[in-house]
Amino acid sequence: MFKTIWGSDKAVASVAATSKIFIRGKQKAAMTPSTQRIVNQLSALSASRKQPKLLSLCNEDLIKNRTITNAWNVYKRKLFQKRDEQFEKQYNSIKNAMEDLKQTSPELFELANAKEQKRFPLEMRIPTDFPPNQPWVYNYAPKK
Amino acid sequence: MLNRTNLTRARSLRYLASKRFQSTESSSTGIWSDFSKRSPSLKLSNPAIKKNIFDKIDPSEGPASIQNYSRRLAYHSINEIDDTFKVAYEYLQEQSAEKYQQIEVLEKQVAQAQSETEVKELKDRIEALLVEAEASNPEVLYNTSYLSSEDLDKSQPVYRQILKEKWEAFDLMVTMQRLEQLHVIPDTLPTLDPKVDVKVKFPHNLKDEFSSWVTPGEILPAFAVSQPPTIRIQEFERVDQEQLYTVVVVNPDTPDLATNSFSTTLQYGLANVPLNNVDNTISTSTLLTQGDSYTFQHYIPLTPEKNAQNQRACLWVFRQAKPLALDALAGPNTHFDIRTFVETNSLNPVGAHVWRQHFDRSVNDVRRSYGLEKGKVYHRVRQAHPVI
Amino acid sequence: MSFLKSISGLIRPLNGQGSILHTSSLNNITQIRTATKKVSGSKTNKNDSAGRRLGPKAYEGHYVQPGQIIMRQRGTKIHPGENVKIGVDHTIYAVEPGYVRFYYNPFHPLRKYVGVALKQELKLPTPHFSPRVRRFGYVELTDPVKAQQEEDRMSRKEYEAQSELTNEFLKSEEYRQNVTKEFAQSLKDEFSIDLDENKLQVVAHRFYEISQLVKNGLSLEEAKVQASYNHIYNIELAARRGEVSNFEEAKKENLSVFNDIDNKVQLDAQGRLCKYLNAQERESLQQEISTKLAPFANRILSKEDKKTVTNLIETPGAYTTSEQSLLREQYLPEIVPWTVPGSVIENIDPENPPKDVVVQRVFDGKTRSTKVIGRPRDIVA
Repeated sequence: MFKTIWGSDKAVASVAATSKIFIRGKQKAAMTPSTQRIVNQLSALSASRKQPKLLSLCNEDLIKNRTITNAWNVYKRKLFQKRDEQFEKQYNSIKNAMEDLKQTSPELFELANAKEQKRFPLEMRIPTDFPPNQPWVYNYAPKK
Repeated sequence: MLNRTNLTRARSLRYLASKRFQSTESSSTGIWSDFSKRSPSLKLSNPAIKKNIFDKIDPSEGPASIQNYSRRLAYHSINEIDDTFKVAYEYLQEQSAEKYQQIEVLEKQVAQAQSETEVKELKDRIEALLVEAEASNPEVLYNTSYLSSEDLDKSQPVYRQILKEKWEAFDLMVTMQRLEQLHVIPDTLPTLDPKVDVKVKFPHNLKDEFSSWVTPGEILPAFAVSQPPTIRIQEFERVDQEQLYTVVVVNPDTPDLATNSFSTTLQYGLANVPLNNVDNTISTSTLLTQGDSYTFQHYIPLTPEKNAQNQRACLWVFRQAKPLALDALAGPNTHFDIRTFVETNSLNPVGAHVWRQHFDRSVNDVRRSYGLEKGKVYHRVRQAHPVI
Repeated sequence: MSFLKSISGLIRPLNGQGSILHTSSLNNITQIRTATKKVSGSKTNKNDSAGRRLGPKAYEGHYVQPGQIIMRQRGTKIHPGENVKIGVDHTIYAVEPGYVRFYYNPFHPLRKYVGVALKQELKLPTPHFSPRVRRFGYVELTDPVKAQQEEDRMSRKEYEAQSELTNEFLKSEEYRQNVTKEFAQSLKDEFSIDLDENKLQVVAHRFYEISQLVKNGLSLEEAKVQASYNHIYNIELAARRGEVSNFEEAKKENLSVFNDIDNKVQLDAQGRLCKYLNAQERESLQQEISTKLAPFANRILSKEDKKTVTNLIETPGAYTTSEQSLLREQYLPEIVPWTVPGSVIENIDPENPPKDVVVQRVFDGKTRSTKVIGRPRDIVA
């Protein structure tokens, strides 16, 4: 019993150390007056005026910037084109294989394209006022 | 985390360094620095600015494009922009070189082409490729962004394309708005599918407020339009040799007291004016030397009478399908029917312009100088008499 | 138990049993005598107003005058079409005299329109691409006195601007006369041009026009052509009026005079007359001047030096305006650059600077700190 009280006291002390300690009397500002003044002034300014200034570049640098942007756009476009071509090829080969399968063995084609049966369809869910936090698992199996 | 960023930074710098090494090697052989086949007008003419773009901006001198000395000195460039620019430039140049290779192939096909339509098709494709090959060239970019449109070489498809985009973004919209709101369409011709940029100015004016290009719809005093205008017709499509144009100025607001309505008067008529992409202006010197061979109706400025309200001078530009006989075009200029004129001569309207006039104190002098009788004066209250 | 009690009120009674509204016994019916006479009236349905006399006031084909009301309505039952307008209370009235037409507009197929056709045979709407039918409506003043009065009548704005306009005109006219006179004098004296007084005036006026056109931004060559054309065009107009008999001859003669003069005299960038220089002569003159200018480059200039440089740059006929401004930028900069030797004095005492030295605090990029330097007063132009 005694021991447990000791233990609980320790826990209380550790909690008190992390939480804010109440101090009676006028609070002293953490900031120096000059910093406080700047903070006050900034708080009176609207957010748009606190934005950093727009860079005013000379004509030469603007041209350089546009060239860099152009090059990046061309580079990206090429990448996307390459990827799209790849996807198209993949799709076409899948399609051809399936056509082939349909010709050679219709049963296997049926099996390959059979729709996956849902073990627990969404209709089984009991309606509630709010949507669930966990997504619905169609093929739920209890953990072993 | 820190280690990783350092690593990637080191890697990218190494990449940049290797690229830089390549770029110094290949910069002299790149397609954009080769002017054996390309026009010199694709060059950036200012050597100081060119040096600033392709080398670093020297911080002790500052960018050459800034005029003010102290501002030039105070300028700070962006970190790493030059190295990145070099990589970007090389990359774009490679893309452009590919385009030029395609063009070479097409040009060989043009030489072997049989029919005219095939040649035209191939030439169109070449032009589109030329635009693509030069549109991202920084020298061309600089020229189109900071040079006035008058200094650009309109024989180059890329400049024509960019000028067309600029025209469509502003001047065309202003012109079409004024043509529609002032009812030039459909009071003169049914409608307009604009193809050319039409600009008008009256260069005889010694006062600068009247000597610059006229904004469509502007109200001008009679003395400011007392001599024939300079007309600039900028074609954006390729003109292989020459295209003939007809230009007319009509006033659809001439009072017609017999019907208590209005009639159209032909104020100015030019035909068979040969123009192309570069030589695009019917200027004073053209009028001085060859004016008579183009004119079928001498210029008569609008001289609105007192209280006859605003009158519109509608300038129409037509592409001709074939040369026209000037004698056949000449005729009385009053009660002019522009629609039948266009139809009988199979003209294709491609551009228009409009300015307005009303009675002012210079009208009488202009009338006198053109040998016209004194203008009528109308009562300032509009009556309710019906149209006859 | 308490739970059952609380929900009992929410459960639907079965077969009417246990209902709160249930009355079981016949004995408990009480007779109620309802009132057969109303004690006081009710307010409902009493705010009816008189009819507003809405509807069409002029029908299809009726002739209407401007301002005549065609339709009174609440909201736009009918929309205003051609030659009519709509008032704040959606009243449609005519603005031109003509015949009322009710019609549909293909651009707004769900709306009904009313308009006024200016002629009886015309139908509305006017086809989209055909010209509008318009009425002039103004009457000519035939009495010459009244016509003159009406022509002289000014708007208040025009009337109030008269004095200013006259002053401006007189001033510009005086300026023109002075300049033309000067040109004529100098053509006669300096360049010994031998022309009769009329021709001399024409040539001098042409030079005045060239100077003004160059100020408007035309190049010298364009200005020359334009000024010639202005004169030729005036002759052409005179020929059309019948005042000049042979226009072609007059044109040729005038052009040859202008050509002769242009080969002797030209206008320089300062607007003064000077000897005509062809391209070769101009180039050699420019080279001469640039060798003379070379020693003034990249150093601080004294007042006399500045004067000589200015004179060299403004040598008659040597440079165009834009070339001159480039040269001025190079040799007479507003503030001499730091790179010019002697224009930066380091190690000075900011408290007691020497005479003719301006103290500046500048940022030194190399050490990334500010430092104090002195610059001689002569560096400012």
